[in-house]
Amino acid sequence: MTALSDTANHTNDFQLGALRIMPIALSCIPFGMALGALAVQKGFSPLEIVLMGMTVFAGAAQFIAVDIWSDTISPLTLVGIVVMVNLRLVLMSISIAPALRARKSFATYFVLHFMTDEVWAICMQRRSEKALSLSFFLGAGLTLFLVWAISSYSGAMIGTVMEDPTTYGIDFAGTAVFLTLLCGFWEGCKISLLPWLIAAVVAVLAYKLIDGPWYILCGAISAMVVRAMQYQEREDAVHV
Amino acid sequence: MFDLDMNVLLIFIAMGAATYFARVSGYWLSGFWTPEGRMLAALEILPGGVLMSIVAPVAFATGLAETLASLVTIVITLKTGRYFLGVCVGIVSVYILRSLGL
Repeated sequence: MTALSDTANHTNDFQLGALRIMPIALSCIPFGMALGALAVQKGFSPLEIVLMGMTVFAGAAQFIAVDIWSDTISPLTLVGIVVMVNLRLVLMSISIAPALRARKSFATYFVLHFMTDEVWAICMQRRSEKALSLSFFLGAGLTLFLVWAISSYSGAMIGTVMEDPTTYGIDFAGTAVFLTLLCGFWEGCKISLLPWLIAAVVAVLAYKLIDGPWYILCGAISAMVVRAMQYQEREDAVHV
Repeated sequence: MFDLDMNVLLIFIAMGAATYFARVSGYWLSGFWTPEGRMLAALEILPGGVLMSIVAPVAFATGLAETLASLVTIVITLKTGRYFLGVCVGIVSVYILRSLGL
């Protein structure tokens, strides 16, 4: 069915996806290593942490899950917290869907497993220049998947000899990765400033007041509410 | 090194399944619901909002070292456009700032 030129495009798109995610994937190495090191300290084996990365493949959720993991915690709590942290994936999935729907391919259900914040961001960037292909998505996703597995495995191996990650500032790796990603989403003061500011304030307050990772959801939802209100004002200004 | 606890693996699979469901559900939802206008604007602010919420407690409410290192990370990333450099400099600065006792 597929024409030759199409196949060529698939390969190019796969490579391009891999290429575009590369700088971000490299930045995730310290993050993956920190996760591996932390997991080893919590009593996981290197194999276990790699398997976790392959099944869950969501850095923030994995970090939080490993962090709160204990012999007494119920599996239900763990799954619940992972769902909470990953709820944003539902919204990311909605936002990327129009670009994928056009393909009407069953492979979409396979490729979607590789959608992380980083892969999603790269794919949305791609969509703004050209139609997004599943090959591009897979190229980016698989690259990050491999880097993630290798870096968390290496971190776990190193973690067996490293005493405390905070001494090296490695615990800051996650925040640093998320900060650099954040830079890419700035859309100017008119659009981003107020929602981001409110998100930060609400997240800090929720972090201090509520136990668990609720602060992420609280901050994200307040950003959405603020943005929705802003949007209305802007529309009125245009129409009046 | 290759120890594998079956209960642990089952929890991973449950967490993975829940995450996969989140990843697919939006795509599936979009079959009969497409966000527009204000709803779309709200959805588009979401990644920034999520990322900001994740970093805010560490960046603004943990300590001076973390706040300054966050600032350095952002400035380097914006000035050079290199994510990896931003992350590395960020980690190194938090290490230095903490050794200085901040």
